Amino acid sequence: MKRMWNVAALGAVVIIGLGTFAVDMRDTKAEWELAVTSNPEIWEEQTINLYYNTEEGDKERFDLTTDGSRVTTNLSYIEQALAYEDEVDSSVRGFYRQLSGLTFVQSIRTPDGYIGVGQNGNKEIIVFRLNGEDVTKHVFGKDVNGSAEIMDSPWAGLFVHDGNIHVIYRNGYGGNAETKIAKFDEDAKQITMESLELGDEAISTVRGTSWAFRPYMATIAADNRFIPVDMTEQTTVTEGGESYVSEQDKVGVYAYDVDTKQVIELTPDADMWNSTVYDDRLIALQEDGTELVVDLKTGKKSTRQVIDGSVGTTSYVGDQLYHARPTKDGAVIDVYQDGKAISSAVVKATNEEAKALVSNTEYYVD
Amino acid sequence: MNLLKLLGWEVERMTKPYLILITLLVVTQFTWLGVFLWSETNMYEEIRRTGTPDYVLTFGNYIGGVPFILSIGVAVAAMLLYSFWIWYRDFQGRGTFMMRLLLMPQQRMLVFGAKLATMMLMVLGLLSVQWIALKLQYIAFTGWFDSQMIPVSGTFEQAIRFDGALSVMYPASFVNFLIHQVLIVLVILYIFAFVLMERSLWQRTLWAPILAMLILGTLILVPVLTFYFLENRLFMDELMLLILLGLIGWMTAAIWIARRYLTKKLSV
Repeated sequence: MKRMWNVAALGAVVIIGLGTFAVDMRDTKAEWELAVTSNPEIWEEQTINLYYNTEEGDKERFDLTTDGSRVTTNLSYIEQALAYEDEVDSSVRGFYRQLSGLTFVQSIRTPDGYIGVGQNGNKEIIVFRLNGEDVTKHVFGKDVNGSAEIMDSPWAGLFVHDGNIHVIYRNGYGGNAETKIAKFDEDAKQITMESLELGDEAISTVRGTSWAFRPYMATIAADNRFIPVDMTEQTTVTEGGESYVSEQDKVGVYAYDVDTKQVIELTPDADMWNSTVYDDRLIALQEDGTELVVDLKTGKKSTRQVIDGSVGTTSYVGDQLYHARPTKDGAVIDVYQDGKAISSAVVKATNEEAKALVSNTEYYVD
Repeated sequence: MNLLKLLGWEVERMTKPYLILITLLVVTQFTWLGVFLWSETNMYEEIRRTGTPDYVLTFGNYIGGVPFILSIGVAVAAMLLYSFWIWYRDFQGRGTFMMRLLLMPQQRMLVFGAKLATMMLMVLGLLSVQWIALKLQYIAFTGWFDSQMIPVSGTFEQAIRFDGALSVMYPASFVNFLIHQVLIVLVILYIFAFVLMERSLWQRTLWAPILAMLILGTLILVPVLTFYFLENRLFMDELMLLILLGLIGWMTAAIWIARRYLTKKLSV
């Protein structure tokens, strides 16, 4: 009997300790509701991400759809796997499976499907195209002229022009770095490289290029003349008799002109709030609620008033702008397309746990 | 003698060393907490006298200290060693004790089950004591620095999340905690399988420990190498399924080996 007391005592310690732990680690019970007030079709496939953050570092994340809310923080391995299965559509798995074995990869989405360019170590460059569920692959080994240089260089991103995939990259380092464009001719298995005359400036990013698995990327037209890019500028700084090159991001919106092979400034304004590249348009939301729209085929610019009053948190999905305005119980999210309001929905905290989070919660749609 | 009686008997045998380990763990940590509070307060006062102190303490600073990490390391090492000793102890003194155990009129796997349950009770007991100790240490930590008007940032949960060892011991999801316990069971099962294999072969060959290590090592390494080969080719959800199947396979293999050697090959 005495022996059983030892087991009972140890069992009691386990129950008290792990019981305390289980209570401390319990999931949040906060629940949210999405009530669509107009044009419900817009919201059928849409998910709102709710981010709760405090200065003390408390964090909670929720996904909200018309079916209800789901906590996405502190998920178990099983819940993570199930969520991932939902997220990565089976139609793009074959394509991403090809990319995932590579050490470095970038991809874009065009009306003809997804396109990816990756590196297998420093051995080869591989170009993938996904059409429907068919994946085609072209390999450019070290023997192909220019491939070694591209594999040694950091890439800014991809674009498609005249049916050919182009990679913008930086050759060299520091003050001697040079921005170049490589055109991949898949049929002839050739790479043509060309230097851009940018002086102390460089292209750092091609907008719309993804570095990660993103099954719902915005579609970009394959024959745009203007390719939206982000720029950096190098300056030489001298401190204590020693000089070094410093590189900073340039404010404004820029585009590489495929015809003139120059980078042009679309707008010098620094007050851009959010932007997207969709099909043949660059849409940039300004701080005052107007949208700058650039036709990427012609370069023609126009502006339109979209949001009246102050701009809250915004996100673009394709060419649709989602604008969240906080309210006492949650937020109102208005959807705009082509400058016009096309739908509205209300996010509401439905229980006390959620209401306690409202003041420190932000709302994004992706 | 049923499983519960065997369990009671095993627990009784480990009570003293286990209590010594828990005392060592708790005393080391609270002593370190005292030293930490004293030294940080002195340092802060020093800085306050010379200017405005611009650094903020977190609970992570305390649990990142060497004495704390060492105390956890000693407890983990003790559990690993005891997983061997819980069997080897019975083979001491010409193995008469083990012989008595094996001759008892019950299934030999009950002895195996009792030893496994004892090990898991000890591991869960340590995790429980450590959790309660951590909560008390956090109360003492914040209470002391608040009383000294020394700023403290971050929450208890954050400190646990950002600590390498504690985030594995106490993951944010309780389901993950249970999964980690399954992994601990797996480690213990392999240690048991090693001991039973080695004890079954020791009269036949001097190479028994090496042989046991080679067989079990191969059993562990082949799936691990397969996993590394497939890792870049599968998606996360597919990898999870693969890991789950691998764990079930590993566990089945370890139990099968242990059972086979315990019931058919073990020699005393």
